[in-house]
Amino acid sequence: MTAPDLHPEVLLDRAAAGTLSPAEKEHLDAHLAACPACRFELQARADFAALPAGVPHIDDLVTRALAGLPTAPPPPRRARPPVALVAAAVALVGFGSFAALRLAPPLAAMLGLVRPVATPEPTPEPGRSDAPRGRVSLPPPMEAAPATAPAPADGTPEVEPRPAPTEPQPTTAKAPARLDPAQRAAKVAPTAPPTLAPPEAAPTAASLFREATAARTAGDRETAERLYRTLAERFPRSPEATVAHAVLGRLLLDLGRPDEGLRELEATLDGGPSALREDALAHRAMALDALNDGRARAAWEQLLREFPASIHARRAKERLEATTVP
Amino acid sequence: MALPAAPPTPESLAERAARGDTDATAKLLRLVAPGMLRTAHALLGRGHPDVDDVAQQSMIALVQALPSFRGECAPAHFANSITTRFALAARRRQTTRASRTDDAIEVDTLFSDARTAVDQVLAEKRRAAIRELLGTLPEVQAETLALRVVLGFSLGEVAATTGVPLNTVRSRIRLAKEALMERIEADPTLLELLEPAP
Repeated sequence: MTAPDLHPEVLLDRAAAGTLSPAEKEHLDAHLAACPACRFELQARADFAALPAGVPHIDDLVTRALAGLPTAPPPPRRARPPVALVAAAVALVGFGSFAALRLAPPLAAMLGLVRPVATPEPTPEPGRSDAPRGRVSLPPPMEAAPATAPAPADGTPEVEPRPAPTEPQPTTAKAPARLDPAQRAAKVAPTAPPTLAPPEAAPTAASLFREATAARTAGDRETAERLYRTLAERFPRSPEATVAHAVLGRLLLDLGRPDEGLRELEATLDGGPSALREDALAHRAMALDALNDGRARAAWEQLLREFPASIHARRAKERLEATTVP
Repeated sequence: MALPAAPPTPESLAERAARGDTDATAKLLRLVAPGMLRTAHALLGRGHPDVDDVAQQSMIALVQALPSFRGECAPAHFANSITTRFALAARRRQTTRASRTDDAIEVDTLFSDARTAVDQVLAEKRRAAIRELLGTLPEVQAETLALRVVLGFSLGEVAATTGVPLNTVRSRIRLAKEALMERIEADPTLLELLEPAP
């Protein structure tokens, strides 16, 4: 083998931090000249660091995750389990299992964003012989698939956005994750009345939300507005509908329709979880300002009263000062 | 007039969120979400259909994991490491399905700065090569290499985030680099992506 066996990882760290001494730089350069792997790594690090940060719809992702958070506090912290037990548990269930989700209430399921599925069979992991310490609390990755993707035939668990349990379900049940294509066909095809649309044709709260968000981020505000409204009308109790009211309220404010935006924001406040309340209160106050509505002052005061450390606090104070009668 | 309170630190937000404070949870998520989404983009490629799902599931998992987060590393690193695991799982699934969606050059990243278009294309090809490698490595090696190359973590940060000794991190990096070396030796076009040695 022509490449060196040892790589100067510490020097690579210092190079990344810009703290190489001249002697260290000479040493590292000599290594890089002989080691394409380190040269590749160094350049790839810079390539990934150059990727732009942030995307327009980050707020949607956060807001949607927040919308369904449980209001009850989580169980109290428990003492860290002994390392041996942790290692045993990790070894038992395997890296890709749902162990943590079985131990704790699956928030994803509570959110209505994923569907709990059967625990996959433990599989031997040749590269997993050194079970790490201190990681039992970290939920292992859920096997996720987009709603439109076919069910995996390799036995991986299927997780997909789904409407809230209270919402109407498609009349034809979707195939369980572990059925193979032949089983799915046997289960679905013979029992489906010919007049029914295929299951994937029925929009769900999640699919409507996804389409609305895609339309909005693509700049198609008209379609986004229509889809958000459809979502709120058809699935009024879903977590997605609560977020849709909030997003639509802000969208309408941006479109110069504060009166309509106000209605959506107030719908958010009527039924929304506390995590959405701060933003909704702030934008409600902005809508009232835009309408020259006398309730604007009280709205800003309410925001400061409920969320004194709000990111909108400065704006609220400025508006209150501007509207103070001498 | 009292001075305005100092903004809460990520650590204090994580502590409060772990106790069920929804306000702190919201603030923490808003703080770390851009980095989580960026991590998902970096590991999967911007056009990958699972990027949003991975980011969102990572946020959910972060909230679930907070009660047992003991502050071994910065909350943002903790959040990004969770996203890394989800993204790598998505990549492995994609590899299994042999559905390749991320090899295309990310057009929206081209011409975004002063680098030439050729440099940008080469950079994206290098990123694609790393992503492909990550999809084939054993999980712990892939996670370690991703934290180091994609997120730029130092050796110590990788050790703190993954909860393994420094020497284990070194060992995993060495094995991952051996795989990278084999990949380079098997595909000489990868060498053409490299700038000349210093």
